[in-house]
Amino acid sequence: MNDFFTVTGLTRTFGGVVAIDALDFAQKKGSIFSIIGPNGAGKTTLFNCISGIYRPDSGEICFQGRRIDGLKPDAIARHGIARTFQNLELFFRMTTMENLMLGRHIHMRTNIWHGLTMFHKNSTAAREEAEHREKVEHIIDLLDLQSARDVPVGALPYGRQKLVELGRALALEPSLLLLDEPSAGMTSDERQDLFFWIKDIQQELGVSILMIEHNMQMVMDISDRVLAIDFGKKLVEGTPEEVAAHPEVIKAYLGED
Amino acid sequence: MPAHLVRNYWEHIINSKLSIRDFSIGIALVLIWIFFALQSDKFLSPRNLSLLFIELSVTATLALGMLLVLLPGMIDLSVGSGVGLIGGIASVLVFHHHVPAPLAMTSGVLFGLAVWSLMGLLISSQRIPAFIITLGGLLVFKGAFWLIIRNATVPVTAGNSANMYSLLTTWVFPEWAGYLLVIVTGSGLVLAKIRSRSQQKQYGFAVEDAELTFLKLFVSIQALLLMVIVLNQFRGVPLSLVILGVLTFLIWVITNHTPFGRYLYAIGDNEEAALLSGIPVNKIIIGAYTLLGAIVALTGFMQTAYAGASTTTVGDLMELDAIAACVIGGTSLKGGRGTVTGVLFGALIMTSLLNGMTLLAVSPELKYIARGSVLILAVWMDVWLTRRSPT
Repeated sequence: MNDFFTVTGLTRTFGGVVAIDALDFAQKKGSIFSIIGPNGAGKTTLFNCISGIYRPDSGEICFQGRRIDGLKPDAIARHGIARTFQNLELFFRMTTMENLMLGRHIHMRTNIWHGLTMFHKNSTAAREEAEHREKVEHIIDLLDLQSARDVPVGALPYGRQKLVELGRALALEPSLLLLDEPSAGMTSDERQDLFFWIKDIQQELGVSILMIEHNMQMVMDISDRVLAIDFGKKLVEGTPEEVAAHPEVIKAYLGED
Repeated sequence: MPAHLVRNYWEHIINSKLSIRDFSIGIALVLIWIFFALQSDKFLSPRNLSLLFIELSVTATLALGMLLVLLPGMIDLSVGSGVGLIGGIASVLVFHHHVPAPLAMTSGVLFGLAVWSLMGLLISSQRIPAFIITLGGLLVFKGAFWLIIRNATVPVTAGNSANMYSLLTTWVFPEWAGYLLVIVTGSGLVLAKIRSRSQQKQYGFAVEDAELTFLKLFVSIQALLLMVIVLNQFRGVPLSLVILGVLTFLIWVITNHTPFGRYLYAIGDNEEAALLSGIPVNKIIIGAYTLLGAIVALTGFMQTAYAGASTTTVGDLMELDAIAACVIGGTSLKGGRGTVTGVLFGALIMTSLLNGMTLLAVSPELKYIARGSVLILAVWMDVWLTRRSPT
């Protein structure tokens, strides 16, 4: 076992419904790990437990040797886990730049006194702002968002909004990035680009990626390991080839023909 | 001024992506002033304008505090009662217990900080709607206020001698100091603008047309100078107006140039996304209410000093004027949108309406109806404009 990211015996129920049932898995640092399963299998519930929106009923979630289950979402974000959503969660009235800068803010150390002296060129606030802007510009370049930089996010097309959300998650400089159906609602061209971006994020930025994805082609092409779940339980875990060949997966998820 | 500059200015305004809202405030303000000036020749007199600017200082101070909690999508209905209560506490300390004014005012501020942070705590971590907590606060503070002043009228001056407390709205700067203020503020504005332009250039941002920047500065400094000239014709620049100026600068820095301020906008725009971006939403909301508490205390001193005494009606309905000022100035009640300049204009509109109606001796009944109608109209416009805009 490795100690980068492990989930052990995780269970979460809603009333009488068991959404996640004693789930175990472990992800290696630097890998792309995909979770597949039919609708209602508990994938998003799992993400919500990891990012602190839900408190698990039992079980452990460990990240880089520390237990993070039960922590608040903002604390988990500061531990280095960022996420995107199946339905976009963005600051729609702000520009792309502002959305990404907000992602940087957990790394900022300035306060009101720095703010008051920011007119001085070498003030702490001005230097810090410049530093963070540079990081954000880098992400904007990486995701090809230059033309959207100063546009309010609410005015962008859906595919680009998804990228802004990805950018905002990256601005946190996470060690682990959770992507909830990143390719949903994208055209096949956009999906192709997304494939390369996710690869870039993994290889250039060294970010590990935990991903829920319905597009099997993408899962097969990109993942190092795949976990298939149904009714909150593990069906099978392994390399993409192993998982795709598993009869339960074919039956439960890919259809029998 | 060269004619082509003016033409450029207008072309710029017409071509820019300003919304109706950006224009409507200015137009409404001009119309209101023209209306009252035609109805009463006293409206534009230096004396009345001096009073109007003191009233503006009080209303705008409270409205700037209200902005801090409206931005993250909260509200505070208790500020009016709070103004009465904290003003009352300070004047009882000064008048009945002979506490020096600075100490009495410090106690008032500490009280405001403590009580408002407690309300923030209940709202954020206990998830009780802000509307309910502060509605409760409105009643509790009102009752506590009447208990503390024993339903009597407590003057703000002890032994009929002026103290620091009552000076808040009565002291004026001497004539030369007024002009000095224009020079200091004006050069501050110019320096800040030059600095921000050079920074924007440095980081490759689009820089506003130089002529337009010049004209904007020119117009603002002229307006400032005109204001001081008019105020000097009566008694001089009131202290309260300078307090408002300083507070405006502080709130502007907080909302635009600190992470805390940007979080306020982020929470109002999308609370869940804010939480998952690592923003400690609860702490930020408690922080916003705590700051508001200090501002309520400051407004309490100013309003009580302006009224000349602490009586049962001080602060009545001020929460609604503050909310109306914010909404008229383009602040969204759903959170996420609102600016310091907008709030100042909104407060100026509210103050002008109230001042003008008083001058025309409009009956209290009609004043209530007018105030309520303006509030409804402003919120309705906000809802209507929000629905039309793409975001």
